[in-house]
Amino acid sequence: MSEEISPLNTARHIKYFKMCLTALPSRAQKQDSNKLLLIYCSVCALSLLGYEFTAEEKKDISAFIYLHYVPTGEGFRGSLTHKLQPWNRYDPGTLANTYSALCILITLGDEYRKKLDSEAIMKYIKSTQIENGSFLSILDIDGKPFGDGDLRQCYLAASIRKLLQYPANGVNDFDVDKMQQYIISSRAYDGGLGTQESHAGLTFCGLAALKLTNRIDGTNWDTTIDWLAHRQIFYDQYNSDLLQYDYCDDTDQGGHNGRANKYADTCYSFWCAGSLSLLNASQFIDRQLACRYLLNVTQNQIIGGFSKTDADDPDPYHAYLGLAALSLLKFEGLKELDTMLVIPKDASSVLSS
Amino acid sequence: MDQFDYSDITPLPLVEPNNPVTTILYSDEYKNIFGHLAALLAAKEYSERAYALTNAAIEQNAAHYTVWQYRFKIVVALGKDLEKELDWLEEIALDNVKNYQIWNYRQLLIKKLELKSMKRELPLLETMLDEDSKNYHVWGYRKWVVSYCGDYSNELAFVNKLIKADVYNNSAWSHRYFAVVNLSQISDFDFDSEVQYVKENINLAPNNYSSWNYLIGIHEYFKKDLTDLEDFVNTHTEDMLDTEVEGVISKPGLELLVKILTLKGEKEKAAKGLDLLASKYDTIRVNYWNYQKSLLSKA
Repeated sequence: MSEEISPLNTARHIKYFKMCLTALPSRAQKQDSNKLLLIYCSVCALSLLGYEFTAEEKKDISAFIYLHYVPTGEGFRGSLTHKLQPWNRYDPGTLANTYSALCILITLGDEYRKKLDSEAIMKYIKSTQIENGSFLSILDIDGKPFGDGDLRQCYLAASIRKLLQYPANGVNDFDVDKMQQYIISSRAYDGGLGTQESHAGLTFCGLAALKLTNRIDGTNWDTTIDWLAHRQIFYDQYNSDLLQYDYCDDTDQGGHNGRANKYADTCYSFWCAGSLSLLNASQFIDRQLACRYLLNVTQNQIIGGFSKTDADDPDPYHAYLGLAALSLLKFEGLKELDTMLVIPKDASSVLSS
Repeated sequence: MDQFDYSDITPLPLVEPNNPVTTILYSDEYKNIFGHLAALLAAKEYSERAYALTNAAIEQNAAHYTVWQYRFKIVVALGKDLEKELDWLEEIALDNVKNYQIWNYRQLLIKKLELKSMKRELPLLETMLDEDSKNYHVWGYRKWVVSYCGDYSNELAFVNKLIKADVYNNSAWSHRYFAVVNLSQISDFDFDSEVQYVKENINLAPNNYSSWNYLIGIHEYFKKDLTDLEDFVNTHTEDMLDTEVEGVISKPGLELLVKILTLKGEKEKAAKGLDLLASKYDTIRVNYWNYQKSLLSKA
């Protein structure tokens, strides 16, 4: 494939993410409960693009984020529509939004560790851990773990622990051994991780959670690397029979899918490149083709951002992960990424390893 | 919201701060529903009108992370008919196919009902997977409910049907693995006829990693020798190490041939296979195949 790679349209992307930080149309209501996740994507994307936030912007954004900190100090709610007065546990912190809040604050250079109650947050996280070692997304009105639990929640718990620099011997540390066992037991027969079928997003979450807690070494990951290496999509004359299949599209060349025999999707370029990077196996990606897919197929040349596939509109989540993937692929013009935390590396340099 | 009187409730106003970030332009309906919901949640009111309001809220934002536990509390407090609640949830599920909370809520209801039969759930699962045969949440729920009821008896027939409709459906192969592993623990399992079934499906689609990976997976699980597959693999890779082929081959077949040759200690031939993958048949993964080759010389 000799097709030229389109340039990264930095100015448009900056405009796109600044727009996301200003306002979103009413159809974003469906994501209202995880609004902090959208802000996290936008703030980190701007930083990766080299945008310098003004002192005023930093102040306004961090002040807004702190409005989401629940009164018990246990974590962050996802949106002000969740805020209750008087407060009770129907307005809980969630793992996803607490992670997002900490990522935003560290990226803005805020000294959040001096302002937040780390013990309260970690006690909360510890309370969401369930018998099998994974975590559920919130505590319910009775203070019991509630919601969906899987490798995503393990990732969030491990990231929060890292972002708070919580010590392994702290009284409110969660059971890292059990989490490790859960993650390792979630490896499927073909080498990927998942709650059932191997899934690249969940594979990243599992591997990153292990790396964040210094538990990734000591396990042989060869089959996982093999499975991840096969996620990059490639059609040639030797497998052209696949192009008859509904889920195979030759525009996907060089992109990654999240599961076997599925379409490419921008976010999987990141989940796969990230996973391989955590396993020191980034060289198994064809960088040229991977960049081509992102820049030529899912980069939006008109309003900026990246979309899920060539057929969608851009959204902050895919747009950020598209940039994060390009950063891991060493595409010029982007800051380096902290693969584990999925934030710009210069932001996490204040943390010790 | 029209059926009940909410006039005594002051909806909690959604007041944006002075310098808001990512302002979602909420519709008036959304503000009204969630303003009332917040007031009821703050008062922990478990009532018919609260029950009705959770329905409206879920229709607007099914990803809301507290409305589901609130609804469950109401259902239990008011002694609602749980079967009817399951029916209601089916409608919501069909409108929100990518949602996590729905399936978690369904688990709560099934546990509360102590439903130990798959019968109630099979038609819904079938409809949902007809709509989207790779839906991760639905497959996950199917796995949960099968395990919960301890009833694996429907699973093979079901995945047979899905694999017949789409041999490339990796979710179906993955579910097959789950079913076979569990079935083999409770009854005699005919490994050879399972292998025969997979081979026939591989013959239909030689570049299908899903079926090849499954074949290798069950060999490993049942501690069978992969080298038993050499003759079968050769039917897909015949002479490829000596004569280069143009046109469609079986990439996963060639990869398995390399594995078998490695296991048999035929390093030179295995290296030839890896060279061919790197330079001709799977060039995008050239670094990976070269790395595999470097391991070969170390072994």
